[in-house]
Amino acid sequence: MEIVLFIITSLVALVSAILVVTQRKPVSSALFLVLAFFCLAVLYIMLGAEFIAVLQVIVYAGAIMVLFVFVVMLLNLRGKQSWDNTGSMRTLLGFGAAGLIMVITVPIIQSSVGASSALGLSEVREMQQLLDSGGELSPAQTAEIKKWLDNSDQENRIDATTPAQKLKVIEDYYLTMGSVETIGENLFKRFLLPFEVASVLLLAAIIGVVAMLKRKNTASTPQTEGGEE
Amino acid sequence: MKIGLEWYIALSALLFCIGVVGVLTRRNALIIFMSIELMLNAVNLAFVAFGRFLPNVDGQIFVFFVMAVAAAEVAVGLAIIVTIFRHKESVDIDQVNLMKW
Repeated sequence: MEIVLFIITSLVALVSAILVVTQRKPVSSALFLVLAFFCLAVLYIMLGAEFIAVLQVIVYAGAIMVLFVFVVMLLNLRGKQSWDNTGSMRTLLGFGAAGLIMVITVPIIQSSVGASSALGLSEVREMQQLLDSGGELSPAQTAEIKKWLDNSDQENRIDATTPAQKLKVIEDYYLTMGSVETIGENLFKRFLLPFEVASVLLLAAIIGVVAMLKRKNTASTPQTEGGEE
Repeated sequence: MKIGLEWYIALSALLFCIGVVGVLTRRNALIIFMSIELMLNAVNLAFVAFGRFLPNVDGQIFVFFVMAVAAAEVAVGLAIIVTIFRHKESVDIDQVNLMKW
């Protein structure tokens, strides 16, 4: 079931991404990009990142794309720029660069097969079912649990002594990894400086935008006009 | 069959490459900008996927900052595009060639 959802979502994301790049009108591109963002939000929820998924919808689809559509509306382009005017050399180079990036990325994809932790949420649930039905964990599984706990930074792992309690600790970590509480705690404790710097960055962006777009008033003020007339 | 890390990384790489094609091939500045946003989102997906499978919550924290930077960048970039449009009445990047030799 999860595989079906993943395949459908990723296909819709890929197709809408291709349509973003190939549409003639910027408005159509913007709408397909919104669709791609929604697909990515579904993928984030599948990966257990609920807060990031909600942020994706609110910030990307709700603020950034609204800004795009506003600018497209303001510029009022008549669809003059079309896909056909791009030279064949430029198209070839564009696809060539993308192909090069894929060639470089294929070994990364292949090496990421073994990079993930062997103790995912489904494995933890399997082990818990095994313990509930009265079985025992194999030495390999016990060693995996020990390795997982040693590599993590769980404060409450000292209380966990029995394998069932340790599995509960791991399961709780996976379930709360993307929650607002976890991300808030990390943002305000370990990543406090980047957080404050990001707020300064946003302030600088706002000031820059207003400074750039503010039109200088070339017409004289009303008092001067009345005096001269 | 479980969905492993490599599925998400492959999808992220494909989205990134589609964004690269968009940036290098199109001449409309707005479409180029949207392709840049597509690339940023592909990278966000890679971050979250690695954060889930390692497992480490730092991936999602970094995605938070990427989103903040992307929002600031979109605002400033669109302001630049609007300013150029005010002078040239066109968003064709081939016409922005004042500094070309």
